[in-house]
Amino acid sequence: MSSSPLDSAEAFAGARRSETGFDHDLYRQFPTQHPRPEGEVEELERIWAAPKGWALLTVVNNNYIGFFYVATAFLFFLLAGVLALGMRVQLAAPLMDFLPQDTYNQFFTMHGTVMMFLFAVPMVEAIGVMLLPQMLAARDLPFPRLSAYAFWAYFVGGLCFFASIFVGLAPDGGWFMYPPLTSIAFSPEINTDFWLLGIGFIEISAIAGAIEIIVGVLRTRAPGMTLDRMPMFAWAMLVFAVMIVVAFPSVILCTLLLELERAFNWPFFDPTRGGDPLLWQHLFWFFGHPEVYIIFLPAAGLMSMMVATIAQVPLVGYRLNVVALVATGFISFGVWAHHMFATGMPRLSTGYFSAASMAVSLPAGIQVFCWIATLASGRIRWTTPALFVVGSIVIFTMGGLTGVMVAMVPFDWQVHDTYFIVAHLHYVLLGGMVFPMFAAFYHWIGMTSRRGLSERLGKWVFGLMFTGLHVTFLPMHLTGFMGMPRRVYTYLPDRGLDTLNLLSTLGAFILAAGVLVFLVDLARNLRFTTDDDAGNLYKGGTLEWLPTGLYSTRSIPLVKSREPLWDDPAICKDVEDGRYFLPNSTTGLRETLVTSPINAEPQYLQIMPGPSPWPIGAAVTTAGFFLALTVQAYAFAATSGIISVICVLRWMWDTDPPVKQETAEIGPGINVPIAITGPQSNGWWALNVLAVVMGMIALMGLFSYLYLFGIHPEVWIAAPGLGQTAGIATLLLAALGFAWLSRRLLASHKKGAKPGQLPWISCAASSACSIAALYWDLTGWQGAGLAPEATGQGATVFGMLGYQGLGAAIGVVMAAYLGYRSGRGLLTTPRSVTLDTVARFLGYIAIQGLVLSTVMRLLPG
Amino acid sequence: MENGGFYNQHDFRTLAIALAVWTAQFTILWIASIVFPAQPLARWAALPFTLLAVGALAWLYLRAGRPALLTTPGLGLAIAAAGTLFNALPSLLG
Repeated sequence: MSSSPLDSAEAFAGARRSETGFDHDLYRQFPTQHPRPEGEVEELERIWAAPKGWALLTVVNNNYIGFFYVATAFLFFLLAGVLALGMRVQLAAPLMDFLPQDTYNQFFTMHGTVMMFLFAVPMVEAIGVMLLPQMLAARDLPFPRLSAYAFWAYFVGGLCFFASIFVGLAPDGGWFMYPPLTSIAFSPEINTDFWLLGIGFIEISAIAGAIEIIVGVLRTRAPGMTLDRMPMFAWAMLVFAVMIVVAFPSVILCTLLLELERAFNWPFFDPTRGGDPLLWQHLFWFFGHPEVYIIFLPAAGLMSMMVATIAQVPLVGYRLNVVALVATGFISFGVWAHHMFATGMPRLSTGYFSAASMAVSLPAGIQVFCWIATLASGRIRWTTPALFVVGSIVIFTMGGLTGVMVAMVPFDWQVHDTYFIVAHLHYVLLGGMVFPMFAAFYHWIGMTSRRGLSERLGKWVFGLMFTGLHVTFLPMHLTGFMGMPRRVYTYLPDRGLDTLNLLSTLGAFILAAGVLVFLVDLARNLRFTTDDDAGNLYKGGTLEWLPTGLYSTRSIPLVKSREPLWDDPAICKDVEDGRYFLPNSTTGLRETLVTSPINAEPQYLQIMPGPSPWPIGAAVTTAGFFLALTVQAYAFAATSGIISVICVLRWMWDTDPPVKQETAEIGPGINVPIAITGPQSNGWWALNVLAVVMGMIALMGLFSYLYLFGIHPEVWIAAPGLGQTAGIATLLLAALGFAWLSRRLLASHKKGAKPGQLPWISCAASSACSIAALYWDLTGWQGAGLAPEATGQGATVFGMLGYQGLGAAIGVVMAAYLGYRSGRGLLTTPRSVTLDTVARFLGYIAIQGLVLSTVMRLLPG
Repeated sequence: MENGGFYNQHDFRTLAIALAVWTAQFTILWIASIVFPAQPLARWAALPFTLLAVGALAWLYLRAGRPALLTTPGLGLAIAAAGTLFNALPSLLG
């Protein structure tokens, strides 16, 4: 249907070269012609069956976890919406006393926090968990237990966090929690701690989901689904997940630093002792602004897929859209300080951020024009998703235009912290995420419900929400221009603000009425199912509309175009008849096909874990750990932490079983290995992504260190001597060497031979070297006279060494776990995924320690 | 089947490198602006790094076989070039 000529035929070296050595002529066999043996489907159903009753809590399948995830995120959307209505009632007229001032502060803080952290990011991640495996024709995402952990951590942590509002302990410092307002001097109660520990914990859940998505998109696509054939949503989720991995460590770090300041008086943000409150703003907004795109890009991916279905033509400018997604991902990291134009930054700095803030509108504009061109090139069917999609384009464009306005520094100074900004951000977020989400609900409901939602009610939902949005937020541009500040619980009469505010309140209730009608529609028509769904209601052309069960598709198709269902009408039947890859379970276990990242060539078969109580156990106890820390119940926190570690180890115990069968036949004459290690394995990819996350935290920590030196060099003391630094570096290099040696020791044995105890002992030696180096580092700085509570330098040095200590401690646990497995004879030769993972992690910790230690000791000199 | 069989047809590598060039130039210019606030050095530093970035983009353009604008590397290079030149404007305007 669509063609995509080579970018530059002679120059593009990647063209027509197999990535793995796989012979592409083997693809000619598909669809196969011989009928499949009886009973294969029944066996797949048995293997992938979900547990019943209370045991359903242990389910890990993406159909269930995705649905739970979406439902929970939507619940938080409703709860945050109720808070917004409370605020609008308070502001309906001047000097209202519906909400006391303190409660109002908690309401707006919780509204922003819940919408951003508990609704928007989890919702797009949830939609990804739900849709991606089917879109990619994978059996499931590569780490189903990690998905389950991420969901339950979010569910338990989120509900506990939200419950704080019912006891008057909800955070009240704004969703961005600026110090010094949130420092112990001005916020002595635990409201702020709820935010810091609660959000930090929920971000860990988001990162777990991002690792899952990156590996899933790059490694579990159906054969033939080359990068340039991926559905736009998969592209968007890939960029989204990479952005999470880069951006979220920054907010995890700043929440940790502020909590350390509040709990132990370490002055990261206290300017009287060499800290700086603007450090918080840099760290927070380095996450906070990309966060807007993190929310928008997946929704844009959904939009790109829906416009094609609405117009029944391929997306116009697929490649331009991909470029726009990637470019947005990059440029969005150059705009964070436009939230700080009013802080007195150097003039040249503001100019750079202003330029980048305007530049980011280029790729966003490309996407909008692609959508419009697609709609214009086909015949639009004015269904409910179509209305939401077109409405979204209108609203997002309006919000984008005011975004370009506030990117200009003098204009920003005028409207900073006024209702103009409130209007702008709501236009962007509602147009860029909420409306596409409602469109997606209507569009994809056929995948998960026995019947579709009502078109008649859907049009009411759209009409009320579209009208309500404009009636609410359009007047706010004016109230902002007239000087009404944000986050103030009331205003004086006769300032020209009364009518506009009343109008906004009316609009909020119209918007809420739209959501209420949607709930009625859901109650009437949503009937969750995993095997008897309503199907392809809007005639989409991508793989998620293939017939599926809990095992996803019966066989994994060979993908020849971007809209396979439009281009090959027989594909549904061929897939269901098992005429493609992996039409059965070759090992009698849950398994999925792992393919290469660029050309999606079959590489190996991954054994997938089934239902387990350990992920939910680990999630609940991790939540207990953080919440107990918040209320300073340290004994309970320690107990929860230990149980959580045990749950994680027990969960991992099953994931690397020795499998006797070495290869599996996934198609006629196509045999692939079953368990592999190294760069081809999913574990290697996931560990590398985790290393990027940890590395970003370390990098932002070093940024904090150098930033504080730049602001307050007068409190800096000299580092310990060079001899000591060289000794620490030598220990860390030894740790790196032992980690490498452990893999060599294991690899020196033949298959099936007993590896002995040396491989894990080598890992333990690596861990011991890291711990020794850390101890030397800490005592060295103490000996030099540095104290963490004395200066910003002390706080950052000991903060980063504490972070290194956390990694080293995890390394100790991993080495002990490896030793236990080795003692039980579970270390397979010549390769073991467990040893590979432990050794690489220990190696990473050694490198991180080396960088942190040497930079902090040698710079600034 | 679409053109190209089962091989990826788009040059995503050039796209990513081009945008990385933009990122590097932006980062260096910003660091210069906060290390030397209100000093001419911060503005002058923009010149060589912008020239360097533009040179790198030009090299990428040639290496990619002079791709047309509406291709993956072509549009990526165009956006990166626009962003790079745009980054330099504040240092010119003061």
